[in-house]
Amino acid sequence: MTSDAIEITDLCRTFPVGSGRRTVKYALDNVNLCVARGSVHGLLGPNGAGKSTLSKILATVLLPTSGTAKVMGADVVTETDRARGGLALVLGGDRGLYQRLTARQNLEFWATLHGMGSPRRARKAIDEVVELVGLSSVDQTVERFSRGMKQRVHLARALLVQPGVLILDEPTMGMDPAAAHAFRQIVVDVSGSGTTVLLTTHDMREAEAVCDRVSLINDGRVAFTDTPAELRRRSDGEQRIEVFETPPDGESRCDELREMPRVLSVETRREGGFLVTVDGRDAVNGVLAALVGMGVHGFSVAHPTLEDVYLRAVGGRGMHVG
Amino acid sequence: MQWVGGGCMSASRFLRSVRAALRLEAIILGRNRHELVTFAVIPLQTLGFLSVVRFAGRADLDIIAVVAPALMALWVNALYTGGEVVRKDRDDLRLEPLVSSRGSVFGYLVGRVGAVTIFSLLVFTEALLVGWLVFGVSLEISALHVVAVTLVTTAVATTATSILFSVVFVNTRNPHTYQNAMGYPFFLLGGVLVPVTLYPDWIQALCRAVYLSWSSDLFREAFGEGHADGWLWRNGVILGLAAVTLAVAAWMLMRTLDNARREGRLALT
Repeated sequence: MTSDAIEITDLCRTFPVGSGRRTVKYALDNVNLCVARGSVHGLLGPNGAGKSTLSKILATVLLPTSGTAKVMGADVVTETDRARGGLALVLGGDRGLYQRLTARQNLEFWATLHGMGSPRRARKAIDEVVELVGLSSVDQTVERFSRGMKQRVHLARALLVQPGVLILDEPTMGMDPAAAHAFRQIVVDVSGSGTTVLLTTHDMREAEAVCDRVSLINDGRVAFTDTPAELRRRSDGEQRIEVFETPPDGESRCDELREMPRVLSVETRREGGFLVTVDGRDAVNGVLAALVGMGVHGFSVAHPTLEDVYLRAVGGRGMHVG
Repeated sequence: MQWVGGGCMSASRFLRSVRAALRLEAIILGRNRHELVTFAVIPLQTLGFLSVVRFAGRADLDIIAVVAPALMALWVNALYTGGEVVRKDRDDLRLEPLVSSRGSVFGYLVGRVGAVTIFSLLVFTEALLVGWLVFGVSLEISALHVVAVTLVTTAVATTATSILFSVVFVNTRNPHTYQNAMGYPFFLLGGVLVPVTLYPDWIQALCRAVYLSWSSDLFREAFGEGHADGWLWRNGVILGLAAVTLAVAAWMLMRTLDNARREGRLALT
């Protein structure tokens, strides 16, 4: 038995593009990745980076062009059946369910389809996952659910089969912050029970909150893989000093700061105070000393977030997709 | 055995998928009030056909006017309700979870479309009852066993045809064009309105490839005082046509899903 729940080796996926479909675009370009059993692994990346393509290949709904991908030791192309026995796929958004059915009827359908045994056993399993995902109003039709509730039904459906690997493709897309927060907590709980979770997202806070490790995919390639903390630590990028009060003669003070070495910018804020951005961690002390010298004591130093790491990695891609 | 969706289909997986989908479709049909419109249309169609035959002074053709709407309802439901199953699943993003599940997509289709056919048989019964109770058409059955067996074989063939429609329509950009075009011509080719024996020989040969032509003849003969000679082998032909249709549908489904997985079109809307 292999130690990793997901093993991806030299995986490529191309799509024909252009007139006559003669040229190809690499959605995935020689991707190598291993995900340890029981961990939550985040796939980060901008729109069109290849996150969903990778998820779909792992979920056996898309074939790779070359390379191999294994889920719980089963090759997704040559051992499709065995791979499907060990995984469950949850797609983001509010479609994918039978809207006119109640949540319980939806779950009963999937329980029967997956051969979960007697109706009594299936009912017990449904009750358990319903409780796990905190799904209320289980006897209400799904069409009346909020997006957050629908996503819980999706998750319950996936967990019903006790998958070794749970693939979540942007599961909190379109959810309000409270619902997304609650959903992330459920994912953490699920992971605690031994299920390996592969989570694709472009929400950095989500990745930081739930992932043991994250991989950034950009233009079909894995740019890096590490723990969120290690990525932040390794980042020697910009440091930000948030100043909450404006000193007397504020504008000239800001100019003084701008003149200091390795100060990249000083932005005044409409509500008062300003934001100083410096190049590197060791440039912070000089700015802090200058601020104290100005009589300013209300400030905080913001460590680089995963979002900073992400933005640095994807560069000036901006609104460009694909 | 290598089967649809790149997976190996076992009998138990197939059967549990059929069971799950039968129950699912039964609930969906119960919730979708618009499906009940078929029940409302039947009396009007029966009225229309009966008016024509009675105006012509051919009360002996009453049974045709009653059986025709019943078979038409069966065909229309196969075309529109059963035929849309895969397309709706794809458009509502259910196809990907279904394909990646431990169930059989083919079994799922058999279950859902089979439930639609069972529902259609209720409409079939309604057409006969409306003819009898409202319009006083004599429903004397000379061969009850022939009616029963033909009903079963017709249901099987209708299910197979509807599964084929479902797979064909998911491969088209606008299935409604085909659905609209495949109503009336098949009522004619199926001998639903007029017995195919009245057609020129070369058209008759074409009609015999349509299971409805065998079913409609058998129903007409089994009702009334007719003799449904050779009913057993004629029902065998219906089952044979159903088997061929089902095999083609299974092969097309396998090809469709494999191509969709290869080209990334499984969730294409």
